[in-house]
Amino acid sequence: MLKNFFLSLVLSICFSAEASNFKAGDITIHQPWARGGANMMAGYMKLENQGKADRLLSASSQVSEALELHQHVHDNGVMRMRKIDSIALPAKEVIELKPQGLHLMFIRLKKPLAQGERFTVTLHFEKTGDVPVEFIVDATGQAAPQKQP
Amino acid sequence: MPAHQTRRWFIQSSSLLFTSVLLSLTACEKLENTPQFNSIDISGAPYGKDFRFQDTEGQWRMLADYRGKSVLLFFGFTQCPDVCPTALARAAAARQLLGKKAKNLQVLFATLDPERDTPAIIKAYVKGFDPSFIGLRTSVEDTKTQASNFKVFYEKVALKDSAIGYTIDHTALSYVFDPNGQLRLAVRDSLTAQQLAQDIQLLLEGK
Repeated sequence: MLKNFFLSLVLSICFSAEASNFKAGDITIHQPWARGGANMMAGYMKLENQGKADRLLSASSQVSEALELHQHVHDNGVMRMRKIDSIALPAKEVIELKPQGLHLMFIRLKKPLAQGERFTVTLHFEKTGDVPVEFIVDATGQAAPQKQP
Repeated sequence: MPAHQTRRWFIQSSSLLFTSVLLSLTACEKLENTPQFNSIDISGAPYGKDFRFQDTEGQWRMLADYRGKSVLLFFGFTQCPDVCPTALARAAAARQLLGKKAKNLQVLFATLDPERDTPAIIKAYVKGFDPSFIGLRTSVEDTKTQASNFKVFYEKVALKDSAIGYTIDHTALSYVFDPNGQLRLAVRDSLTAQQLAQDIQLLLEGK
């Protein structure tokens, strides 16, 4: 608990300027950001795996009642959103969670989040373990914010 | 490669080049006459003549209420956190790009999920993208009619293992009317805000 608190504190000090990168073991999480409405939100980021194959199993956060891994399938002009069980992170590959593709789905926000607001999400990887990262709300973002770390 | 084959290859490729130059010249001529939209030009389509919804203040709204403005209509649902925000954020960005002409573009969001999307929820949702956006809603039954009038396909799908309960699969086109109330463009989700703004600019110029 206390460790988590300090970790969050360190994270918020280190990454107070803009969407940033986070590193844990062989996994680098690039520029997590989120967008959505008063009730639901989608989260995006790039997951770079410099090591052996891993897997994102789930994620958790205080901001919403539920948090799931989802995927959009573009099927002949029809957009279909489905829940998925995990996201495979093959060795030496970059997997991008982005609009109209893979995303984290924040379901039933406890309170609406404002533009630019930051919040912590803990990513649960099969091999790398739990990694807390900070998301930034970019309501009007159309792609990952073009900001350099 | 033997010499005669090389020559034949050269002749073939030169004639191919010549043909393509001719073709592109013809295409350029065409460009000058008819406006070239980035979106799909559906001018004269036999569908999408009008709509009828209640806005989030309870006022009934039809296309004629926005005469003189270009109207962008998008069907979606507020629990759609991905495709719908992409379309609405793009529309908001296009308005920014239009500068002073932005007031001549009205963006409308019509829900395909009236069961969950109350007027208050829709209002909070659309205003998050742009305060000028208007959210629309009608009954579950009438939503089917309104959507089919625009050839919008949608389907309620239960997600048993998800906290969402159900989602709505739907087509992701935005529809754009010109200031005379004629349906002109279907905008694919792959288009950028710049491309959309260019198209709306053309419509506002009376093209």
